[in-house]
Order: sequence, then structure tokens, then C-alpha cells
Amino acid sequence: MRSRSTFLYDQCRTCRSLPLLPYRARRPRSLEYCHGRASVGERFNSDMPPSTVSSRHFYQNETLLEYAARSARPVSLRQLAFFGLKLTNEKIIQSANFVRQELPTRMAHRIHDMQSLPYSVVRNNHISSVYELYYHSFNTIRRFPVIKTLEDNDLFCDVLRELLTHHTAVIPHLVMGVIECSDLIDSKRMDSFMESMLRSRISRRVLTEQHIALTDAFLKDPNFKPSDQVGQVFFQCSAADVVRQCDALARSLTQSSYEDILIPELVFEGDVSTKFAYVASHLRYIVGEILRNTFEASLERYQAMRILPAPVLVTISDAPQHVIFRFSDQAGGIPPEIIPYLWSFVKGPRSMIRHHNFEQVPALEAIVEELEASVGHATGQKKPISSLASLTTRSPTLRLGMGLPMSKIYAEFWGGKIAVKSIDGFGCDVFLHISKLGNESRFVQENNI
Amino acid sequence: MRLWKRTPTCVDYAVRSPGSIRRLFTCSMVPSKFSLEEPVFTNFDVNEVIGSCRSSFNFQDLIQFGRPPIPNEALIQNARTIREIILTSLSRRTLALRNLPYIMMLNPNISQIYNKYLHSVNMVYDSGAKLETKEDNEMFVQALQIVVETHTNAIPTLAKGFAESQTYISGDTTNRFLDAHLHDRIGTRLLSKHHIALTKQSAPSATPDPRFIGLVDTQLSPAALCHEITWFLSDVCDLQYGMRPCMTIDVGEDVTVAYIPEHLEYILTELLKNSFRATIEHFLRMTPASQYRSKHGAPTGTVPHPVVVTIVRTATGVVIRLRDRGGGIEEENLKRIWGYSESTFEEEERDGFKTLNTPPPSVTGTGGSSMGGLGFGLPLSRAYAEYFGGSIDLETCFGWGTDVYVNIKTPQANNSKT
Repeated sequence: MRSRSTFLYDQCRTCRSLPLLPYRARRPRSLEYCHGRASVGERFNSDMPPSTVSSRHFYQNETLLEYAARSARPVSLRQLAFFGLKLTNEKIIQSANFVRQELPTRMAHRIHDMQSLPYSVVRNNHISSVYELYYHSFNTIRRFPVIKTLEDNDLFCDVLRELLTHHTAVIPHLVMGVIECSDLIDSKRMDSFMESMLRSRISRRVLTEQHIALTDAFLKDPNFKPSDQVGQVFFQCSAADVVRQCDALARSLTQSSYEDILIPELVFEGDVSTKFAYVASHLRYIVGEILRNTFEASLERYQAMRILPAPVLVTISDAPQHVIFRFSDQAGGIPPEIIPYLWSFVKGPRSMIRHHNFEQVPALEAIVEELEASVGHATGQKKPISSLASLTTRSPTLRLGMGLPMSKIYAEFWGGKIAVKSIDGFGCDVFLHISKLGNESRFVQENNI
Repeated sequence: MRLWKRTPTCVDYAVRSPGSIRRLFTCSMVPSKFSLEEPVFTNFDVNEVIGSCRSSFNFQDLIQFGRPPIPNEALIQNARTIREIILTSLSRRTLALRNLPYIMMLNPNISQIYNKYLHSVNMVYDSGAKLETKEDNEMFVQALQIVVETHTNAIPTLAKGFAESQTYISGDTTNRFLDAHLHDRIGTRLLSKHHIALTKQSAPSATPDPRFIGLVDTQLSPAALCHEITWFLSDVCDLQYGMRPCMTIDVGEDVTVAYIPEHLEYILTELLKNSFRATIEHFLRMTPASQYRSKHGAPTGTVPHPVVVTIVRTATGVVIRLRDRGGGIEEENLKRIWGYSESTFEEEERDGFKTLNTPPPSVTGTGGSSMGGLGFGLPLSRAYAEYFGGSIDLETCFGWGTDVYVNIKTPQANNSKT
């Protein structure tokens, strides 16, 4: 009797890792898949091609196309944050079926995108592993029968949790793949591909996590009425507190990695006590990245000089629809030659990429390993791991070069924005507009499919 | 009714030599009385002429001869070069005007401008036909002076013409036209005045200030400019609101650059004027941002906050950041501020605020640019900044204030985008 935790994949008995094997190729006995061939990272270098590279896959693609032809239904914040909803059995089951239909549609769009990329790009190890993962997740969810009872929903939630866990390492894989394939494809196209992948990922994860949270809350207390709270995903954040927390974290990480370092202080001004509803993990990631960049630049500029760096001025402004953060530092600014590539996942001309590759690929590998190791521990646990949390707590020596583009996607997903103005030789001002998510009649952006 | 006929001689005018310019334009004056007898000239002819002449110049070209006094040969060579460039620019402007809808050209304001351009082309062409001696240069300089004066107050007229013709032309086309127009206008006026100044400074009786090369001030201090402008604008604000704004320079008090003081002064005047107005009105609870904040119980200060100016010397020029606490700009206005004819002044208040918008000639030295209240301030400032490859960027925090970044490129590495 197969346990629930191996619903989708078999664990390799030797290394306990979860090889991304095709659903059909699963065999009850011989589980030597990864050690018979290669380790997790190298399996597609072997002579066994993945199952999706086959003519059968081509002709079966019709199903995918049907799903990709549907448009995703826009999701309102009310649905996501379940403002004022009285939870009932029917509502839970309704929500479950909504997720059951929306997830495959949205995944189908992204898989279709990937199918349109050049062959050479998708054959890259990282991109093809993501493709495999998406395809099998798509099949798993779409084959799930209609949910009619709460027990069905339980099973469904288990499947969702596993999916969330297995998809944790997607971001590093994608970023590494994108960097490695930067010479195979136009960088604008690659950037827009990454953006749509990440946006879609955020929306799917939020949908999934919200449904799981809804189920858990209902099961705990059927009379639970979340009208006063904002739900499991959205938290009431205090603007200044979030910045202080991120500052403390970034500071401690930096201090543990570099000895004897002088880090600029933060000075707050403005509407310091502003409170608003937001997805806490997203905000922590974005603010963390901004502060990390400042600290890194300060390090480079002031370390040699041995003088205390000028403080970073953090201005918080409470506007009708947004909370606006301005981080104003004097850490030397961004060199003008980098500015055109600031928001790109694909970093500029080839020479820069080679240089970055050297720095970045081992760094991202470290993230991947960390995430995959934690995935191994996590199966069987209820709470899915967050890849963002892992990125947020990474060591400052891991310079990934994707902080700003990622922050942009996360900020813009909820209708905010991020802008950077650099004064060469002096410092940088970063403007972060965060939408206040308390307005329940708003819809999440249409293009976040 | 007489039929409108194409005179046969215009075909002869499709000649590639610059000499055809004069004949091209003398005959196509838009007369003040309506007449259908003018011959038709194709734009092809003008394009041919424009294509064959030099049309771009760098900042380096302005200072290439070194400090005055400048030898006559160099002056004459400069005169020849800029004549070509100016003729090309003016022709291009004329062409652009001719491409406007017919009905617009019948608007007296616009046809007046068109006439001015034709007149200027003729003047420059005629007076500079022979440029070999000092006297030739003198005549050329006189012609340039007339051209400069003719066009000094052309912008308000043009603006009025466009405002009256809004039904015949889209906002986008207007913006594009005016962007190109202002760009060329800045170039021609700069070259003309620079050459006039160089000639004056090289006259035997002149004792030139060693700081200046023509119009270029080699030791221009943005900080000093800011102080002067603040001093002037405070008086105006005092008159208008009963309080004086303040400005502090936190970094870069002693930065000097080589640049054209007129341009930088215009830019800073516009931006400081906006900042001061916003700061004072925000303090007096007259802006939407302040009303939002007072509704939500946010505290306001006891005095209006100072505008903080940061001046930083970069490798390619200078960056000036103006940071105010004027409540910021609303989202819907942000898209429109860089367009033309978008002033946030109310119609009936326009005259009343004119004093705030019109720097007197003594400060600007440009003979009184009365462009205020017409919504031209920001786009024109941007045109000035971008002329040599710089930029003006703006970021706003609604409810708090606005940051403006003026990036000026000075000699070393810049090109005018002509």
C-alpha cells in the first residue's frame, strides 16, 4: 500500500532524493533510477532521454492545447482573502473545484510557452527538468476527479501540498537555465518568458496556499468567520517593523559572513506607524533584497576607507492605494554600464555573463541543493516549504544577480512598482510602491495567468 | 474663381545646390491675405537640401577654439559651419510646419510663426552668402541678432496657436511636433547667441571675462545658481502666499562645471518653482495630498520643509537632485506632466499666478521668457537637459514629496542628438 507521501513520485532508495521520473515509468520494484543513471542534477546527461522527448508526447499534446485554449478566470482578492465569508462545506468544495480547474489551465499556458521556446533552450538540464515537473503536475491535477465531499478535498489538499513542495526549487532551476541559455535566444524574449513564468507561479501558489489555509481553518473550527482577520496568506504588516526585521536579518547575515564590517544605520522618517495588509513573505523578500544591495555597495565603498558609512534614509509614506517606501543611501551608486541590465534576468553582453556564471552557478546550485535537501525532509510534513524564505535567508556571499528583477515581479504582481534612481559616485534611491491589499473588490491583474 | 495652378518654374527649382533654398522659400510666404496663386514646392526639394548639409554639433564644437579673443579666421570658419547647421534646422522646422494640417496653418498665430521662419531663412542665407572677411562676419552676426530677436517670444504664440487648434490635431502629434520644434529651436538659438558672444568677446576693444567662452561659463556653480533662484523666487512666493520657501544644499556646494548658464538656470528655475509651490501649498493644506493626510490624522509641520538639493559631480557631468516635501504628484497627473499645455494652474488663476511663473529678464537674461502657466515648463526643461545627452527624471511619493534628478552632460563625452 503506497503511502500518501509518495503519491506522485518514488523515492530512490539509495539517495532518498526524488528523481523527477515520469508518472508512467513508475515501477513498484526497481527503484534504482537515480543511482542507476546519475545523480539528481545530472540525470539528463545520461543516454536515457526523458519521457517527454518522444513522439507520443507530441500527439498527446492535444489535451494540453485544449487547456491552453481556455482563458484563466480572474481571481478577486475577495476569493483569495476570503473576506467576510462564512465558511461552509459547499464553499470549501466549490473552492477546491475552482482550484482543480484553474491550476491546469494556468499551467497549460506556461507549458505551451515552454513548448514554443527553441529546442536547444528546453534541452538545457534545468529548463527541461522544470518542463518535466510542470507537465507531470499538470497531468496529476487534471486527472483528479471532481471533488464532491470533504474527504475528496482532504486528498486533494495532500496532493496540493506535495506539489507545492516539489515545485520549491523551480526558481533557481529556471534562473540557472536562463543564464546558461543566454546565447541561444534573444534576451528580451527570455526576460519576458521568465516574467510570465514567475508571475504565473506566484498566482498559482497563492491560490493553492489560500485553499489549503481555508480547508485547515475550516476543519479546525467550522464556525470560523475570518471577517476581522485577513486570512492566512495576507497579514497585517507594520511598515517600519517589516523594514526593521529585514534590516536585522540582513545585518546579522552580513556580519556573520564578513568580519569587522561597518554597516550603515537606518534612519526612519515619515508615516512610520503605517499598517497595511500584504503577503508577508513577498514583502520581506523585496525589502531584504533592497537592503542587501545597499549593504553590498556600502561594503565595497567604505570598507577600504574605514569610515562609518552615511546612514540609509528610509521614508515611508501612506498614500490612498499604496504604501511608498523610499530607501536613500550614499553607497556610491550603480555604475552606468550596468544600468541597462538592471532589471534583466539575462545579464548583458556575453563577457558579463561568463563572469557572472562563474560566480552565480555555484551559488544557485547551493540554493537548489538546500531546497532539495529540505524537500527530502519535508515530505510528510503539512506545511509547504517556501523557496522565497530560503532565498531571503541565504548568505550575502551568494550574489545571484536576480534580486531586482524578482522584486519587480513580486511588487508588480499586486499592482505596485519598484524603481531605482542612481547618482553615479554618490548613492542610490530605491522607490517601492506596495499596494494596500485591503480593498476586497479589486481583481488580481489579468495578465498574471 | 481662379484655378490654382502649378507654375512651370517650380520644376526648375528642384536643384541640388543650396542656392535653391532662397528661391524655394521666397515664393511660398503664406500671405496675410488669402491667395491661391502661390506655386507648390515639393518637400523633396527641401529634403535634398537638408540632406546635403551638416546638421549636428557637439558641446566640444562650442569650445573648440579655446578662450576668446579668437582669431578672425577661426570666427569666420565657425560662422560658415553654423550657418549650414542653422539653415538646416530652420528648413527642417519650416518643413514640419508645412506638414501640419492645412487648416492649422490658417490660424494667424501659426502662420505668423511660419512667416518668421521663412524670414529667418532668407536672412541667414543672404547675409552669410559670402563669409570671408571680418566685415562679412559682422553682417552675419547682425542678421543672427535679428533672427534671435524675432523668435524670442515665438513660443507663447505657437502655444496659443496649438491650443486653438486642438480639434484638428491629436495630443500625441502635438507632443511630437513640439518636442522636435523645441529641440531645434534650442540648437539654433544656442549657436546664434554663442557666435554673437564669441564675436563680441573677440572684438579688439573687448575685455573678456576669462570664465566665459561665448555663452559657456567654464566655472558655473549650480549651487550659486540655486541660491540666486531661491532668493528671487522667495520674493514671488512672499507676494503670492505670504511665506518664503527655503532651500538647502546638503552636498556639493562647491561643485563647478562648464555649461551654459541660461539652460541650467531655466531648468532649475522651473523645478524649484514647482517644488516651492508644492511645499507651500502642501503646508497650507491646499493640495489633494495634504487633504488626504489631514483626513487620516497625519501631522503636519510648523513650517514648510526646505527643499534639499544634492549636487554630485559624475564622470560625464553633474547630477542635481531636488528633494521636496510637497505632497507628491497624483498618479493620473504623472503621465501628463511631460506633455504640453498641461498646467496645473486653473484657467482663471492664470494671470494671478503669472508673477510666479515669469522670471524677470534680469535673472534669466533671456529677455523675459513668458512661458509660465502655459504648461511648457517641464517639457522645455527636459529638452534643455536632453540636448547634450542629459536627462530629467522624476519619482514621486504621494503624500510625502517628489524627487527630481537632473542629469547634465558636460564636455568630455556628449553629442547633441540632432
